[in-house]
Amino acid sequence: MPVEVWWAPLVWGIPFLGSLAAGLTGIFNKRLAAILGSISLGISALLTIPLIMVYVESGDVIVSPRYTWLTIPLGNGVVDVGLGVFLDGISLVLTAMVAWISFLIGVYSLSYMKGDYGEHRYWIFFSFFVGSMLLLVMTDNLLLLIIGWEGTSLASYALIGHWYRDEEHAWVGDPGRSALKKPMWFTPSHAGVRAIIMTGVPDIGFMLGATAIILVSGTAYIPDLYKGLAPLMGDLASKGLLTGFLLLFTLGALAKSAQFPLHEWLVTAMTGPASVSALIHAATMVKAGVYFMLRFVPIFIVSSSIVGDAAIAQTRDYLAIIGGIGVFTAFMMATMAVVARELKLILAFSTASQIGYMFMAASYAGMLKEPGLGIVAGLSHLLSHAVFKASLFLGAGILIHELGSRYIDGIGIKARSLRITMLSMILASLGLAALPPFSGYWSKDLVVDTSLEAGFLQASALAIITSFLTAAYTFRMISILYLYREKESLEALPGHGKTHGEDPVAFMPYLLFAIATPVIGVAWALWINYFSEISLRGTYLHIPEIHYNPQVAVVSALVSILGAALALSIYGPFGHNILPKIRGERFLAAINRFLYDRWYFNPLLYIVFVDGGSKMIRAIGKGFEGAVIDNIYHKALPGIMESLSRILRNYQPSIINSYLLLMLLGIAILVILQMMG
Amino acid sequence: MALLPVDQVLLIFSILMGFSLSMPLAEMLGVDKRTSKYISIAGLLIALVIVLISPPSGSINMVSGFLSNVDAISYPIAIAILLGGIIGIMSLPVEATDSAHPYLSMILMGVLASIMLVMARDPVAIIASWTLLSVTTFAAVALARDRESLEASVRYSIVGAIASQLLIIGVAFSTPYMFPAVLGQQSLLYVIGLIAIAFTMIAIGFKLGAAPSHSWVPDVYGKASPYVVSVISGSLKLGVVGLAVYVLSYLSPISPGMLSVVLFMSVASMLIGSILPLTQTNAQRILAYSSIAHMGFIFIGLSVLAVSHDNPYAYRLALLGVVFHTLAYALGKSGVFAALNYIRRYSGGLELDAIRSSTAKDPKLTFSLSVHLLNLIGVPPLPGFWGKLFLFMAAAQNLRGLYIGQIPWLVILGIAASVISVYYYLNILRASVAGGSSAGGNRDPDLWASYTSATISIILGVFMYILSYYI
Repeated sequence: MPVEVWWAPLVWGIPFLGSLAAGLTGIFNKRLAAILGSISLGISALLTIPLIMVYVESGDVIVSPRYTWLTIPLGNGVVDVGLGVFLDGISLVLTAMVAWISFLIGVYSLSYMKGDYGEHRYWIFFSFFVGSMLLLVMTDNLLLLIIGWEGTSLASYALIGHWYRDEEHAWVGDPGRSALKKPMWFTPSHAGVRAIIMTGVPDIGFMLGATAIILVSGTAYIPDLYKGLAPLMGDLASKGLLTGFLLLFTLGALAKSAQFPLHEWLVTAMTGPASVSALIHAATMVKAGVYFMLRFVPIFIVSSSIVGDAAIAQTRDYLAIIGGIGVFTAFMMATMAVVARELKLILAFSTASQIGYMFMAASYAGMLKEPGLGIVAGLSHLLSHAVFKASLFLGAGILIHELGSRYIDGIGIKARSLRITMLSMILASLGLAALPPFSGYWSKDLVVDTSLEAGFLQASALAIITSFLTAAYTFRMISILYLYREKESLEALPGHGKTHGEDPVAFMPYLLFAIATPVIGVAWALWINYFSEISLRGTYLHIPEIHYNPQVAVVSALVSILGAALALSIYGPFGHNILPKIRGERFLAAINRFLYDRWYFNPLLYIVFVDGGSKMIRAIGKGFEGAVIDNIYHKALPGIMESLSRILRNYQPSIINSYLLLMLLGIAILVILQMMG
Repeated sequence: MALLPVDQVLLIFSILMGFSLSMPLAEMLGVDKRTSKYISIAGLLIALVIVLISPPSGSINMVSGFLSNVDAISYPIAIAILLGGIIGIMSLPVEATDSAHPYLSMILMGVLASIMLVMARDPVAIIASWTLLSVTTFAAVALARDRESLEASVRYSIVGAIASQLLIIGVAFSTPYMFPAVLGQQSLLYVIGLIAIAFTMIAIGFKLGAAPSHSWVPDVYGKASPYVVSVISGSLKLGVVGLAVYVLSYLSPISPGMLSVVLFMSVASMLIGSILPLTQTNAQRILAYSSIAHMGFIFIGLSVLAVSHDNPYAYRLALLGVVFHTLAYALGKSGVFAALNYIRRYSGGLELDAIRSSTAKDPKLTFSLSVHLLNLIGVPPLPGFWGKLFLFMAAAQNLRGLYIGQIPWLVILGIAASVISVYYYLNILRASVAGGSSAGGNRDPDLWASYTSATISIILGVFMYILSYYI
C-alpha cells in the first residue's frame, strides 16, 4: 500500500517560496536574499531525509493527497490536475539528489556570487529553478511535469544570461573566430536566447505528445498511464505512427538533455556562472531528459506489451533510435572535448557525452529481457555523473575566477596554487575517466553491459571508444592544469610556491562531492542490488539480479587506463608539445579545426535556420504582404472605388432639364419594374 | 392614453400654426430677432412636450382626414421632426440675417406641414399637407438670399412643382384603395395601379432625395446655406417618411410590383449615395450624397414593410428600423450641418482643404462633429446604430424578394454601403480635426446647436432600446 505523506509537496514548494522571499527582501538587502534562498533549499533538502526513511521502511512508494487544483471536463469524465506527488524509486532518488546537490551548490553560491551585480536576480531564479526541478521529478501529474519543465527552461535562460552586460570573461568561444563565415564566440545574452529557443521549440513536440496522451487516455495521472497509455499506443501502432509519435513526444527531452542535434545550446550555456553550470547544466536540468526516459520507458514497455506485437515492435524501433542518438552524441561530444581549450567547455562537452550514455542505457533497457537492468544503469550513471560533474564545475569556477582565465592553457600550472581545489578536481576527474574504484567506472560499466545484452554491438563498440576518449580528455585537462612540464616555466611564475587562501564556504561543497565519488563507487560495487530494488519499486518492472560481466569490466578498465596513458604521454611531464606539429600539418590541422568548431554544426544551424528563416520571412513579407495584401487594400480596392466614383459622377446632371429627364426616366423604370413584378 | 381631453393633434397643429403666424406679427411689433428665435424654439418645445407625454395608444380616430392622436408611426417621426426643427432654429444666426422673422415663420409652418403630412390619412389631407410643405420649403431656401441659395431654391422649386403634380395624380389614382374597410375591396385596373404606384413613389422619392429622383440633392443641399439644409433635410422632409409608410400600407396589398419599385429605389440610392461621394472634395456636397444613401437605408425598411403584411414580427422590425433611423438621421443631419455652418464662417468655404487649414478648431466642435459623423456611420450606442440594426434585422427576415437562395442580399448591400460611407465621413472628420484645437468657450449659436444635438444623440442612443418597447 502506498504511504501517504501529506507534506511531501512542500519539498518542491518551499524553494518557490524561497524565490519569492528572495525577490521581495533582495530589494533591501542582497545578502538577505541569498541567505533566504539557500535556507529554503536547505529545508527542502532536509525534508528529503524523512521521506527516504519512510520509503525504506514502508517497502512501497510514497504518494500524497491529490490536492486537486483543476478539474478539466473531458469527454465522459474529468481530468484531475493536482499538486500531489508520486514518489517511486526513480522519483525519490532524483528528488533526494536534486535537493541535496542544489543545496550544496547554493552554499557554494553564497561565496561565489557574493557582491555580484546581479546577486538579487541570481537567487530569485536559482531558487525558482530548484523548485521547478523538484516539481518536475516529484509530481504525479503530466501537466505539472510540463510546468516544472518549462520553469526550468525559464530559469536556465535567466541564469545563462545572468551577466547580461556581456563582459568578456563570461564569453564562450574565441573572440573573432568564425567558421563558415558564422561567428563562433557567444555572449551571455546571445547564449540565453539560444538556450531557450533550442529547448523551447522541441518542447512543442513534448506538449503535443502530452496533450494527445491526456486526451486519449483521459487522465494526466502518471501512474495510471502504465496501463492507460495502451489505447493510444494501440491506435497509433495500427496506423504505423507509434514510432513517430514517441519520437515527437521525446523531442523535448532530447533538447533538454542536449543530445544531437539539439546539443549546441549547452555549449554556449557556459556563459553562466559556474554554480549555474554545475547545477543546471551538469547535475540537474539536463538530467530532466534522462528522467523523462527513465520514467516513460517502463510505461512504454508495459503499455505496448498490453497492446501487442505491432506496438512492441514500433516501440523498440523508437528505443533503438533514441539509443543510437545517445551513443552518437556521446562519441561526438567526446571528440570535441579532446581539442577544447576552455575549461568549462571541456566539462560541457563531457556532460553531453555522459548523458548520451544515460540515454543509451534507458532506451536499450526496453530491448532487454530484464528492462530493470537498463533503468538501473541509467539511473546510477545519472547519480554518479551528477556528483563528480558538479564537483568539477564548481572547482572550475574557482579556478577561472581566481586565476583569471577561462582557458586551460591560460590557467596553466597556476592551478596548483589552489590545493584543495586541486585535490577535488583530481578525485572527480578520476570518476569521470571511469577508473575503478570510482563511481563513474561502475555505472558506465553497467551501461555498456546493458547495450551489449540488448544486442547492439556497434553501439557498444562506439561506447567503448568513447570511454577511451573520455579518459583521454579528462587526463589531458588534469595534466595541463596540474602536472609539471618544464621546471623553468613553473619557476618563472609570480607567486610560485605560494598557495591561495580558499574560502571554505566555497570549497566544502565541491570537496564533499569529490570525496563522495570514490565512496559512491565503492557503494555501487557492494550494494548495487539493494539500490536496484529501491529504484525500481513502483515501476512494474521485475527487479533484476545485477552482476557485472567480468569481461566487460576488465575491458572498460583497460580502455580507461589506455586513454589516460595516451593523454599523459602527450601532456604529462615527459610529454612533447604536439600542438605546433598539428597546426603545421595541413590534414591534422583541418581535423583539429573540424573538431574545435564542433563539427561545423553550429554554423550549419545558423545558415539553415537563422539565415534561411529570415530570408523566408522577408520573402513572405515582400511577396505576400507586399504584393497581395498591400496591393489589395492600398492600391486595388481604392483604385476601383475611385474609378467607379469618377465614372458615375459623370452621370450626375446639373441642369434642371436633366433632372426632369431623369425623373421621367425613373417613372418609366418604375412602371417597367411593376410590370415585371 | 392621451393626457389631455382635447384632440391631441389639433392642439399641436394649433400651437405650431399660432407660433408660426406670430412671427410676422412680432416683426411688426419690433420684437428683437433673438427673442423671436427663442420664442420659436419655445413653441417647438411645447409641441414636443405634448407629443412626448402622449405615447401612442391603440385606438385611431380621424378628424377631417387627419389622425386625431399620434399612433406608433407618427410618434417617433413627429419627435424627430420637432427635434430637428429645434436644432435647426438654434443654429440660425439671426443677427446676420435680414429676413430672420419670415424665415422663422416659414420653418415653423414647415414643421407644421410635415407633422400634418405624417398624420394625413385622406387624399385631400395628403395633398394639402404636401403643398404646404413644398411652399414653405421653397420659401425657406430662398430666404437665405445669397446667390447660391437663390439658385438652389429655383432648382428645387421647379423640380418640386413637377413632383407635386405627380403626387396629386398618384394620390388621385389610388384614392379608391385607401379605404378598403369602407369602400370594400376594389378591383384594380392594371394601368391605374402602375401609374398610381409609379407617380406616387417618384414624388415621394423627390421630396426625400431618393433615387431615381435624387439629382437635385447634390446641387441643392450642396450649395444652399448650411443652416437651411439643416432644417430641410433634418426636419422638414421627414414627414414624407411617414407618408411613405402610409402609402405602402394601402398600395402594397394591391400590387406585387410595389416591392420591386421600393427595392430599386433603395438599392439605387444606397449605391449612388455611397460611391459618388468618394472622390468629392466639398464637405457639404459629400453630406448631400450621404443624405441620398440614408434614404436608401430607410427604403430598405420600406421594402420590408411592403412584403410583411402577414408577418407581424418583420413588420415591427421594419417599422422600428424606419422610425429609429429617421430619428437618428434628424439629429445627425441637423447637427452636422449646423457644425458645417460654423466652420464655413471661419474657413471661407467647405472644401476639405479649406476646412483642414481653417482656424475654427474648438473642442465643442470636434466633439459634436465626431458624434454626428459617428451617428451617421452607425456606431453604437448612438441612435444611428439602432436604426441600421433594426433595418438590417428586418431585411434579414426570409421574405419574398429579400433573399437570393439562402443569401440575404439586401442586408449585405446595406452593410457594404455603410462600410463604404465610413470613408467619406471620416475624411470630413479628419479634415476638421487636423491641426489641434483652440481653447473653446465660444458661444456661437451654431456651435451650441451642434453640441446640443450631439448630446441628445448620445443620451437617446443609450436609451433607444427601451424606446422600442413603446412602438
